[in-house]
Amino acid sequence: MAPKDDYHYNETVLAHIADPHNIGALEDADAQGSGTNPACGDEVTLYLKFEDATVSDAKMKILGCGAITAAMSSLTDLVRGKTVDELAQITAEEITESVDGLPSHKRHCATLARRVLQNALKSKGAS
Amino acid sequence: MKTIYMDHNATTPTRPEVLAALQPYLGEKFGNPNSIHRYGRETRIAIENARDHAAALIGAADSDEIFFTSGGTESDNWALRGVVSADPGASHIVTTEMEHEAVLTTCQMLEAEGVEVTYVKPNQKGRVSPDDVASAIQPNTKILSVMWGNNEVGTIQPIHEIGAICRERGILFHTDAVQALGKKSIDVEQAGVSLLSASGHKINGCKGTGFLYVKKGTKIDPLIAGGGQEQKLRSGTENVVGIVAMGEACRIAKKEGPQFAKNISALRDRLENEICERIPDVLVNGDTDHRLPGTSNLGFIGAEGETLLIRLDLEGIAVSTGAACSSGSPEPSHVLLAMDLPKETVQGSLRFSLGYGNSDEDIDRLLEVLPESVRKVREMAPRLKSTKT
Repeated sequence: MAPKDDYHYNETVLAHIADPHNIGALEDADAQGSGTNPACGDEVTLYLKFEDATVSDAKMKILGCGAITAAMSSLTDLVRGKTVDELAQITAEEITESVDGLPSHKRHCATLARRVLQNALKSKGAS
Repeated sequence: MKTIYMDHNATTPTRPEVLAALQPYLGEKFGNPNSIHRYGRETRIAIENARDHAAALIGAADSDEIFFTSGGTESDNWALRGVVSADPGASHIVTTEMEHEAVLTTCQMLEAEGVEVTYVKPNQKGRVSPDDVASAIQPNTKILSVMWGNNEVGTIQPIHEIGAICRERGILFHTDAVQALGKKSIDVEQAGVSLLSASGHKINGCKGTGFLYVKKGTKIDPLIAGGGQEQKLRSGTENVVGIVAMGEACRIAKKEGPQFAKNISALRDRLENEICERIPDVLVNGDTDHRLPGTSNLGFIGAEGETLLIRLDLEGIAVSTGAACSSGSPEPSHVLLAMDLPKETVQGSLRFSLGYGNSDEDIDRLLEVLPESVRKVREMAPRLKSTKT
């Protein structure tokens, strides 16, 4: 078993930071949600495009630390093919697991990612 | 991949001369320096030799004023707690918002125990004014604690002016010189310093070693009690290997310090100038007129420091960030906050700290990688921020 390191990022997180997935904005997004973390200044926007009631495309813009970058990068993959109901079920823990874990002092970043997704779903409901 | 280390304010590589000096003390020279027999005598000589080198590096009048500790943090804790404990009338400390956590946390703990502490605010470049320090002094002030050079932005404090104030008012003056040691010329007598904290691993020695300079006549209680080593003021069998390493590192620093400082200043200036030329919207944090050689703290507006750090790390370049979300804290660095820097500057700040082993080739490599990294991170941002109006 590898020694426990709850301070540094794992290889999966580092790979997301090196090459974040789905960077950019979707001009014709059906849903859009933003969120910030005032303590550290992270700013995130998620764009979702739906086709046949499921997510067909997802993109994000981000100004944030490594953990939120990885969490959002993974989330833009995770949401694909899911219905609104399924998206609403995505938890911060699921986002954390999708990057093989985050250091405990960074787990709030997965919570921010989930909040941004929830905000996007609210915007879809409002449209 | 060739790796490049530009994080010397965090720690430094142990120099080969230091490794050679400490080697025998990991092996055949294992004696307890407090033993009476020959094994003890040979290690005693080694640590007293190291003490002489440490004293010479800081201009101490006597080697007996050097007390070996486990590092800068212990020295800071001991200086403040030891002085307060030794004087029942000591009820006020003056320090600054720029200090290392070792000083700030100790002060906060002392506050909880009933000691009053005044934290002097620096200007936007991280420098405190001697007038502000003088105004903070009260009739019950026992000690002032002001760091020599700051670890994050490199700002050097007006130590000699503050030392003169303390001398005039009859107040003890402690300085955390962990970052300044070996890079700035230090003369505790001239500077009016009563207590000075130092660390071995910041000057190419080993981790877990340091010393506290205590000027003769200064009343101080021990922090660690036991067998009465170090003139009954710091108990515990001496870390002979680490002390020998620290002594050798001090010897080299005394001999090579001025040239070393010149070299890393020139490299730092080149790094900073060329980054600012090649990358738009970069702000220099700190006081460029009063700064540690080798330290450059830059704010990349519209980027995020940790993401940049990791991108550089993946290219083999090690730097540091004091900004948000680093080092286990969701809060931005207390140093950058104390300087009242704009949020964007704090968020996008990176610290480059140069030292032993860095060369122009390292700067070349950084300049190859950094502009593209900054461009990519800025492209990801929801909105591009610019300092240009």
